[in-house]
Amino acid sequence: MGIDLDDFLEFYLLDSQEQIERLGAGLLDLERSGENISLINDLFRSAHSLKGASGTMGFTPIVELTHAAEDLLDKLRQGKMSVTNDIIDVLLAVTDKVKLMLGQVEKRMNITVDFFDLKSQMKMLTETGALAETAPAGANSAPVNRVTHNENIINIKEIINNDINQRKTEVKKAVDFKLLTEEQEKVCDALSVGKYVYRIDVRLSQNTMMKAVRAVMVIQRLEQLGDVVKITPTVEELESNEDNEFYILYSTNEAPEDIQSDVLEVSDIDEAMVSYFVSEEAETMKISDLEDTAVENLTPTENGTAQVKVEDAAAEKMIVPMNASRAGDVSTTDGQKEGSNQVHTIRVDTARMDNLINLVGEMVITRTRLVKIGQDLQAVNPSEPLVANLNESNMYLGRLMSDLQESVMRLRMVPIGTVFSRYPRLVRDFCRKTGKKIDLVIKGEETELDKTVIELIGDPLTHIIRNSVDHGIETPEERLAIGKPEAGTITLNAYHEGNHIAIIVSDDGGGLNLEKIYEKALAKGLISKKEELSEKDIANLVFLPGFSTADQVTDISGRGVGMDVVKKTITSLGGMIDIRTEKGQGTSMVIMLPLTLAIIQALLVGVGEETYAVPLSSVLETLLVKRNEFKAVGGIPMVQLRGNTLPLISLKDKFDLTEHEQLNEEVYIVVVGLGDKSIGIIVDELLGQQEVVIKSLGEFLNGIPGIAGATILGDGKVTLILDIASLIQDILISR
Amino acid sequence: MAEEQMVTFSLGTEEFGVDIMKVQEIIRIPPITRVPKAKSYVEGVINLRGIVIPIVNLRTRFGMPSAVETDLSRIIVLQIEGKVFGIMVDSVAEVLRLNDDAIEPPPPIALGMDANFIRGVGKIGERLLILLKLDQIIGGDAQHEQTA
Repeated sequence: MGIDLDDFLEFYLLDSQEQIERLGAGLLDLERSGENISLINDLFRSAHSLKGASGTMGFTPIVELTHAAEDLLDKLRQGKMSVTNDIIDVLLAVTDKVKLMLGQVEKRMNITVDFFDLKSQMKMLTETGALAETAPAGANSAPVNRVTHNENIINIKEIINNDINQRKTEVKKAVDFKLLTEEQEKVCDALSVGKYVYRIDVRLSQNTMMKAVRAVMVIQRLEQLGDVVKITPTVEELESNEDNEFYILYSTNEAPEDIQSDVLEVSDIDEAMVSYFVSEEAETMKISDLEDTAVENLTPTENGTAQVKVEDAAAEKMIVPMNASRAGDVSTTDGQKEGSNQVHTIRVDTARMDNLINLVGEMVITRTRLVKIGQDLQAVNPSEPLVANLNESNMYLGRLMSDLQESVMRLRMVPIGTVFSRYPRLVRDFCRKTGKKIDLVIKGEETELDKTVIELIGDPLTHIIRNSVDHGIETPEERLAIGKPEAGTITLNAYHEGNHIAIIVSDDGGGLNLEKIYEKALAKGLISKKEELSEKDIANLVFLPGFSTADQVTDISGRGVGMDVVKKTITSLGGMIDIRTEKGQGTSMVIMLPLTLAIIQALLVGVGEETYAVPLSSVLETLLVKRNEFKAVGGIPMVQLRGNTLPLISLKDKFDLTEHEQLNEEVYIVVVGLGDKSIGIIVDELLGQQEVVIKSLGEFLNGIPGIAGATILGDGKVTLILDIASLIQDILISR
Repeated sequence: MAEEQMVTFSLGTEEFGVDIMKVQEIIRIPPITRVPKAKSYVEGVINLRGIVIPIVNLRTRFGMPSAVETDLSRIIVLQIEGKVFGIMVDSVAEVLRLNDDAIEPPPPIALGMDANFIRGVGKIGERLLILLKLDQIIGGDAQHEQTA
């Protein structure tokens, strides 16, 4: 029992979940693009490998569902049916069901999700589709578009195909080349520059002496015209074992027959078979179905070789199974991408990664201490050369550290596309339900963000998008009536802006109805008539907690539902959200988020004997104020700041710091703000700004009001980080 | 015969023991950062090689009068169910082995302290060792009752 079944299960789950996501996204694409044959082919492959993997693991319900889906896709693929909304609906339902099933598998439960309805629906679709098409449809005559090059690949001439496959299984032994990463890369590279990758089966004569020498001679010959990627068994093994055969993986521009004759020139070689190399995965994915395309639909130059292949195959001298990679550029890159993704990325337990990040953070801190020691030494003994040495090394270490830190932080970065990818489905389902027409445009999905942020931003975005779809975009009739295009557009965009990432959700719908919002807010007592509010202020009222009960907001074109929660989540991530709206033109939600949560810029302040860190992102300014300028309003001290009253908070009172208070005539005030609210924090000293690594206080001390976490400063002492949001909330509620 | 290994320490005149398997390390008292609004028995937090861990003042926790830190004062860093925290004690005495049959259930009124914290009393000749129930020390609320 060397291997834990759980490990397999983990892999199975990860892969299947990926596969199902791909299937879901592909289906949406398919709905949009209609009869896109290469896409259907991809979908078929996903369903197929999902089925295969589930079969291996013994999850029969998943096998049955995906099998039915595969049948349906196969019909589409062969052009016996065309893509309809019904089909897409059913297949999307399959992805949902499979997701549920995988969920149960993940929880180590038995699969209990009922799927027979869905299965029979698919069966019906598959069968009725087949009935509709009277011709027995050899794919030859199937009405499939073959306009573009890459669509060619799915044209299946089953007869030839089967024939070739048969020969292949007869003649070809399965050889596992066990490619290493770099070898895999070589193969990918070769294919990407348009070279062929061949597998060459070489059989030596019986009783050949010095088999290894022959092999080396073969390799030497081949190397003149291309690259030998791998030989198996290795030359050494060949010498020591009984085998008379060896296999070579070879990339070149040459035609197979040339290679063959070249190899045969080496003495003592009985037979050399040259075939296109197909990786194991590709084979199981049935890419082999595509091979014959090469026969029929290649560009002239390739056509020549393709013909040769078939003839040779017939001659049984040389087997030319399909080469999906060669047949169409699109499938080349796809197939290879899958392969290379598997080798180029590793999945790492987040706990291990966090530990690494933690250690690096610790090194950063330790370096700060070294720097301090260096400075202190220099002050004591400025002429000592060792001190200068130390300081110089510290500087170099500093550079290394910041590089290291950046690299490590990047480990946590995930493209935001992983979140964005769930919205096309959301919008699509909604459109089907309401009859609205909406194009979802997604931009900047490659923009990277900290994993934690990614995980938490999904729900707020869902909320915003749902609001846009529900209240923002008008019905097609309304839109046409006011001269807008029938289909509305929602744009989801992400990009870097300095140390932040901006995520913008905009629609070209009706915009917020500011008058109604204003009236509602007045009626609810959230604002008073006396307050003068700009349009922007009014729009921002939807973020107020009282504004979020559903009934009063859905009837205006507002987005009140739960927007306070959205805002809360975003501020808890250290971000901000802003509304830009124009009546009749649409609404944009602009979200700014910090790139990472682990390291922040902080302003260190001294209060009595304590030091606190204030996240710089919420610091607006600092002031030096005379105490006699304080005015108490309702028991809370305030100062006038450019015509506005700024409520003040004393950390000494707030945190019950009992240290003797020196009543300085002047105090520093750190003005902090979140959104449109700001308060001043009274402190004794400003100690400067610094990058700090945020550490958790642990579960025992979590949730202390006013404290967001801790950090360790250069002197090794723990310093607490203030939670500005909760401080502001505290003081503004008590007002 | 099962026996347990204990780290013993003292608070005032009392002697206590904790299971050595739960003890991660014993350190001198570093600068402690007070945490406002935390429970009164939480002395604060310290930096243990990059991890911020809470420190419980055992005297406060047991309702004993507070004492001045001395050279002998130590923090015993404990790890319980993956959670790390420290307890501040007057001094650490020794490591000793205790036979199971030398451990008696806690007396109903255990030395004026909350009996919730006490797992039993160990007898070593004339010495009495108060064996602590560690999961009660931090977090406060009674967790699952242990049948020791």
